[in-house]
Amino acid sequence: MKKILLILLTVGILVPGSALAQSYPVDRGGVILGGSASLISTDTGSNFTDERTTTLAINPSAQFFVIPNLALGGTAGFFLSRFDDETDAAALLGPTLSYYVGGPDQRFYPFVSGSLQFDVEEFDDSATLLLEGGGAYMVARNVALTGSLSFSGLLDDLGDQNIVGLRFGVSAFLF
Amino acid sequence: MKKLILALFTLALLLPEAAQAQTYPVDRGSWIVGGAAGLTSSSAGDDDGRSTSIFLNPNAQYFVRSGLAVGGNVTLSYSSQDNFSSTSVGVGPAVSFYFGSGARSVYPFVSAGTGIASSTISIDETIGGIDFDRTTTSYSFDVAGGAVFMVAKNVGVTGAVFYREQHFNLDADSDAVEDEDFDTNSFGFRFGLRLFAF
Repeated sequence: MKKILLILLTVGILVPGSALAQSYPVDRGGVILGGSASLISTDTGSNFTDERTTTLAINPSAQFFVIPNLALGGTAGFFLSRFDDETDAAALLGPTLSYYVGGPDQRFYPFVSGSLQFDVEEFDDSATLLLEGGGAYMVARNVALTGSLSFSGLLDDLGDQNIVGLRFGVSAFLF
Repeated sequence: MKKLILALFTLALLLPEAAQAQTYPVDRGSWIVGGAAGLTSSSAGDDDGRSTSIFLNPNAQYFVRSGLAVGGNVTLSYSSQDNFSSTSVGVGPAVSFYFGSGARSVYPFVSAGTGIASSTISIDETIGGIDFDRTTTSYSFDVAGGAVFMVAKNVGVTGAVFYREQHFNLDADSDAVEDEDFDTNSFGFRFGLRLFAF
């Protein structure tokens, strides 16, 4: 736990510093940052028990531009839920590689991306391969609206699955 | 639907222009933007039926004056597989106040929001002689307080404590199954990114 906090603190200190040296979103040294974390206690309102449910969820994601346009990083996740003396836990981890097309003085950056994700749960482990292509449209210096087409294949203990998707969102580019 | 797409498209085009007039993240005229939308079709290897889902969950707040942002979020989702389908619709206005003006590295804030949502689950067959259609309506209220730590011109890392009350009404849409009402409350910490367009 101390190591995780130290790493997060180091990233928090280094990211703003490293972000000063770049001149455009996909320049070498830039960072694409995402994720969230929460610790929540919920009274479920059940008539049968006074127990509260406590959940801890951490899922940071980051990619670092090792050279202009080419970003390398990954996603991590940890989920813990406790209710009535029962605890469920799940974890995921995986690398991501992305290539953005374009340079300075652009608002739109087409990209292709591939990632691999390993999920570990008590009764069901799985691996997911995600291939994605789309574009990031900068609406502010560090903020992009993104749209992409994706294909993912899931190899699961309980059976395989494939997913075709279209998704839109917002991304943070630190540079 | 066409009007919604047109409004989102117009917002995307206007944001960069509107964003140029402000000098710091919580200045009048700035935006906080977030959310996601998607359409997926999935197929399991041992199942002939594909599952389709679509969701739209944008959220935005607009600074009507320095430090004071109003806005909210909209949730629309639909999923189906074989004879099962589920639909959810929700809307939640919110207001936030950020302390401090000018370019700073930290902005403490307080916020409050309400929400109303309706979810319907339908199965096109009877279970034990009873049609299965169930609608859950929820009302929520939450308050939060915390701080945004700016890590770039437009990007802040947020940390906040929050408290949320929710009331649920489960309508079984059948005389054979009783409706249910219950309340929940939650509190905790949450961390994430906040994106300011200015």
